[in-house]
Amino acid sequence: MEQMYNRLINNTVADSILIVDDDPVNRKILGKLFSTFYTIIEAADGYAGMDQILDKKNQICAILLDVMMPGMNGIEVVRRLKELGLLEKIPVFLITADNSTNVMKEAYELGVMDVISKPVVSYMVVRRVRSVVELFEARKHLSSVVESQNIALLNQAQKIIQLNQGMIEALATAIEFRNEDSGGHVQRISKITRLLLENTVFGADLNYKEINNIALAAVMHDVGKITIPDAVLTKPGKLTPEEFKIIQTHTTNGVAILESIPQLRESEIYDYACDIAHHHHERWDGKGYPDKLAGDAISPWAQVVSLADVYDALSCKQVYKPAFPRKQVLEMISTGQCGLFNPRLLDSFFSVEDRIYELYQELPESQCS
Amino acid sequence: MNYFEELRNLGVNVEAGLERVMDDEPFYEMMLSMFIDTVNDNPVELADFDADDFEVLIGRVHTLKGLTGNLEMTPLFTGYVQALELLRMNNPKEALKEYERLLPVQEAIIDCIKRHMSNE
Repeated sequence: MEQMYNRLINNTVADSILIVDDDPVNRKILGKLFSTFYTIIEAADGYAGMDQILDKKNQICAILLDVMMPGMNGIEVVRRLKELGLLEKIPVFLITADNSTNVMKEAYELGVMDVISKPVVSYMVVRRVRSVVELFEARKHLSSVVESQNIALLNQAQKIIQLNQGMIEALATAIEFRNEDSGGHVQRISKITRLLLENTVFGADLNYKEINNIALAAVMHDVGKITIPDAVLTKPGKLTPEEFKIIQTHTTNGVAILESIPQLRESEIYDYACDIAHHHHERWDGKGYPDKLAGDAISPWAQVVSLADVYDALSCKQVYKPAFPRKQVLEMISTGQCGLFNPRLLDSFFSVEDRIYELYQELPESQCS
Repeated sequence: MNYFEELRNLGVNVEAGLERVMDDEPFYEMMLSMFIDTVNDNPVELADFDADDFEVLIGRVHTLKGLTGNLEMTPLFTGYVQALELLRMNNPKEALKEYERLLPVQEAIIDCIKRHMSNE
């Protein structure tokens, strides 16, 4: 996007006409005709013409080109311009006394704008060249306007995306504060999810956009906790079976909350968000909740968030437990003390756990292992 | 005799020449003086028509044709057009005849331009 801005800012005004002709009288006459409207640049042969074109291509609005010249002739110049893709950017007019059909045919086939016969009729050549130059400039201006509008739209879209993301994170963080969490949990779950999917075979089937959406959807995994009473959610001791049943409802309640947001239903993250909120407590052996899904019936993204959630809960201090040391955390996960996970997922997880652990180095000691 | 009048008598279409340069008389006179330089820079010798290779000659005749056309030197322009066509048809003998026909007119026009330049 920065490149597009720079291109627009550096857009030099093309106000010069290049006259390439080996005869100085021809150059002077053409220069005289156009000097009222444009800055005149002259070149005495094809090579000098090419040098001028390459040096001043952003300033030149038209090229008047003689055909018969010593060294590089006009047709060769046109061929070179075509190779460089410049014929679409700068209109070229062949000014020739050679009216043979072959020259004209080749010139038009190569893409010259017009072939004007010598001796030129002054009012005619001026009108023909100016009309085309104005057309080219109008087209250039139009595409520049469209381009700047596109940039503005992209900026707006980017701002809306950032605003949405900010709102989602703010909502999720607010819920965490009820849970007496510092507010970093949801961001860490999102980061762990992205890290795992981007850097391991477990995310190999997902593209960049899908991983982005899943990482954002992961932020909302515990949105249903807003429906859980404080007495249960922040209870320091062990939960009774009844209280645990209430806690379990945060998964289905989370889905209900997400379903009640019409704007979210139209979003690309909606399906991921609902699935993750619903199933991030399922376990590979079918002993999780709420639906007791097992194995591949649990989506890969729900599995990843599930593992990230456990890792984070074990590594950080909770109302009901202290932060466990890293070694203990890894042992509890690998031995299935917090429920069984997909062995493929565990392999991927352990392959990047060093990097995940780094996320916890910035946390206060009182909060993490 | 007036400069432009003399050129008219030599067959130069002064009005059309002036029109080409937006009726700028000093500019047209400057172009006429440059005509002499171009003729000198593109020398056409009678012997050139006997050469085996006309490429250089064709280039020079082509240049003079374009120039005389721009300046509306009608008898020279039509002569060079003919000569060029004949050379391209590999007919140097006829081309030479055309050139010999236009040469005295060209010399008279150059003489006229030179006289005017020396009077300035």
